Amino acid sequence: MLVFIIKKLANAALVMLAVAFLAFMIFRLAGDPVDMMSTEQTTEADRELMREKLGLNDSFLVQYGRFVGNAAQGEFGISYRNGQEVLGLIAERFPATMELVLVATILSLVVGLPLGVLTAIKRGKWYSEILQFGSIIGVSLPSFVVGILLILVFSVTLGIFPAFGRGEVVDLGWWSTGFLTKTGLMALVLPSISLALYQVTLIMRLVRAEMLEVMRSDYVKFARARGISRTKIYFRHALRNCLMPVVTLTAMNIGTLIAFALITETVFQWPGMGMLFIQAVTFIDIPVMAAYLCIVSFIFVFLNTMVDITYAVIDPRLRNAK
Amino acid sequence: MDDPSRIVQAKADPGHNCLEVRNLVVEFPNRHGTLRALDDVSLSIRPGEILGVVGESGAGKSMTGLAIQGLLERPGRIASGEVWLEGRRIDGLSDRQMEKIRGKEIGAIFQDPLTSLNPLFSVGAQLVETIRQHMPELGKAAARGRAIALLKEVGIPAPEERVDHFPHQFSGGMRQRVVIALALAVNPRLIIADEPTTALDVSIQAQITGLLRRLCKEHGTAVMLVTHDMGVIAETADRVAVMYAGRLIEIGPVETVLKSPAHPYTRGLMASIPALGARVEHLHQIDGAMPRLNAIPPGCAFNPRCAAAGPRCRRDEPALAPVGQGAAACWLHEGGVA
Ligand SMILES: Nc1ncnc2c1ncn2[C@@H]1O[C@H](COP(=O)(O)OP(=O)(O)O)[C@@H](O)[C@H]1O
Ligand SMILES: [Mg+2]
Repeated sequence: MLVFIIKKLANAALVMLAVAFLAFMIFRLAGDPVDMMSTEQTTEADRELMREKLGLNDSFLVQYGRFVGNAAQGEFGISYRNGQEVLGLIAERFPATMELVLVATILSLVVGLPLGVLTAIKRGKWYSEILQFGSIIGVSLPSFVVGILLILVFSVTLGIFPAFGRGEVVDLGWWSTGFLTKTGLMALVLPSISLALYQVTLIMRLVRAEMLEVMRSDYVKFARARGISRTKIYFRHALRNCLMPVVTLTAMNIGTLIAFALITETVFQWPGMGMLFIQAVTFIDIPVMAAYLCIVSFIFVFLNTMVDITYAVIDPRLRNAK
Repeated sequence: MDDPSRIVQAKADPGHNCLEVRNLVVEFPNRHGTLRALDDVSLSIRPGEILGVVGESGAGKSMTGLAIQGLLERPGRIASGEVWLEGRRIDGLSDRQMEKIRGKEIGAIFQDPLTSLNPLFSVGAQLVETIRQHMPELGKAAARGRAIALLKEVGIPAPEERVDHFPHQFSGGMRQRVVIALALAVNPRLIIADEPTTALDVSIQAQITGLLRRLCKEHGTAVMLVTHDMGVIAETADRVAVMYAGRLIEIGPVETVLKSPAHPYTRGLMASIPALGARVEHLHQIDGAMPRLNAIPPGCAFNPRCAAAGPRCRRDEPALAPVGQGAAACWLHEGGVA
């Protein structure tokens, strides 16, 4: 098990190095930073001095190494746009996005799992068929349409939930949370629903398909022949065997959600990383873009590694695999 | 004379039968009509007796076992007939009631030990689950003790350690031993073993059937042993039932059926064995193929493949009637084929 974990971690580190390389190349390809910083008055000697100071005269590998070292410590430099520390900018936006994604993920599991099980074990019943049909609509509706519809119904018409913003937030160290105030929680409702809807239907359809598959398996039939009750078979034997793909999908989706959040954040004026990134793209703010790339990739890789380790926890066959 | 169940059970007091199946008919209704998967099957097994069930693939052997256990897949259903277990009628019980019978009074052994165990639970967990399902009064520790004792009984070395191992850590033969332990977990009265050795390596098949036979004799458990391996039948069974196209066409003591089969189909099966004890994978040695359920010919279902068939065989369906020590459904023994 330890060997397995170390292997996975080494894998993850390699992937991150590759991502850092990409981010580094963005810097290189974006042009000479000295050009961007210099004015007409800058002499060639000044430029040379700046090059020396920025380490641009070092070899490619040394520069890359320095970039990775800095990135690992969260040093992504200074935003071209407003001269602030990139890390600070992201730290300010990160909690907003993460809280939104967290709520959407929990929502998609809490709703998607039971619906998947229900539509599988009550196959053919009218409500299963309706849910199954409804899920097709859920999969095909773009999230910004859902967002706009939600705003239209629940903010504009009914006026129950706010249409934009995060409400009041409470600072816990550098983390600002919307979980502790009423307006913060109310503000989370519509964006997380619009973000989660697609995931709910995805998880529901996955769980249903997996359940139907597992229910046909020999060990479920054998469990029936041993007199194990239906409930135990559904929730102990069958559901557990469906969990692996659900874990994978969920983890992968958190990455997707962060990416999708870009759209939801725009629709709901949610002050998260997605908004920050869109602004960065408009201003060609390379350090922010590079940092965003590194951080989102890091989240992806981290989740992937956790998935692999969770697999081993769920499935004994993988524990002994070297 | 026209109630075959009475004939089959003629020699045994019905009260002494562990299992009694009377005129069982299983049907699968579908859009084009109704498929009759089992047609008028009657058989009985006494405590401690091993009844071998043979027949080509698709003959209805597994279906018979499933119908007895109440595990027919929808839309399959018992259309008529009765199933009696230890003097209690169990066909038509609700699924809830059958859950109390499955595993507790009827143990099951499936064909493929690689797939019949849940890969995510240790064998101990699956044993304890079965034991506690049917003996809720037993505590966790006691159930675990029983699980270890069962593993020991089915010949698994170091059961105290193995109880916590997962199915993938056992070989095929060892897994089938675990499955047998699961079937025996709470001392059922009847075990339905559906081709328990077909998926196993030839070298361990005899060990597994030997084990099954020994345990059932010790516990006085009745066994319905489905197989298409005549060698297994010869070594293990006390009586044999031969099935063809959803019908029971011959039943009798193993020596009689193997040495002097009464039905031409059984004779064909026997002729295909080079010597008793030799094993064959499939029974494809009689010319022609078994009819599909929607294309069973009128008269005797076997008549198109039968060398002895006469006009009567193509017209009327023969019923099971006593022949020697057993019974067969063939006009040869009941007034001729003409
Ligand atoms: N779900 C089903 N619907 C219709 N026919 C079925 C179904 N399952 C099995 N059958 C038919 O029932 C017959 C008996 O099958 P089975 O008992 O599995 O044969 P075997 O003797 O090989 O165990 C076969 O002809 C098979 O095609
Ligand atoms: Mg079969």
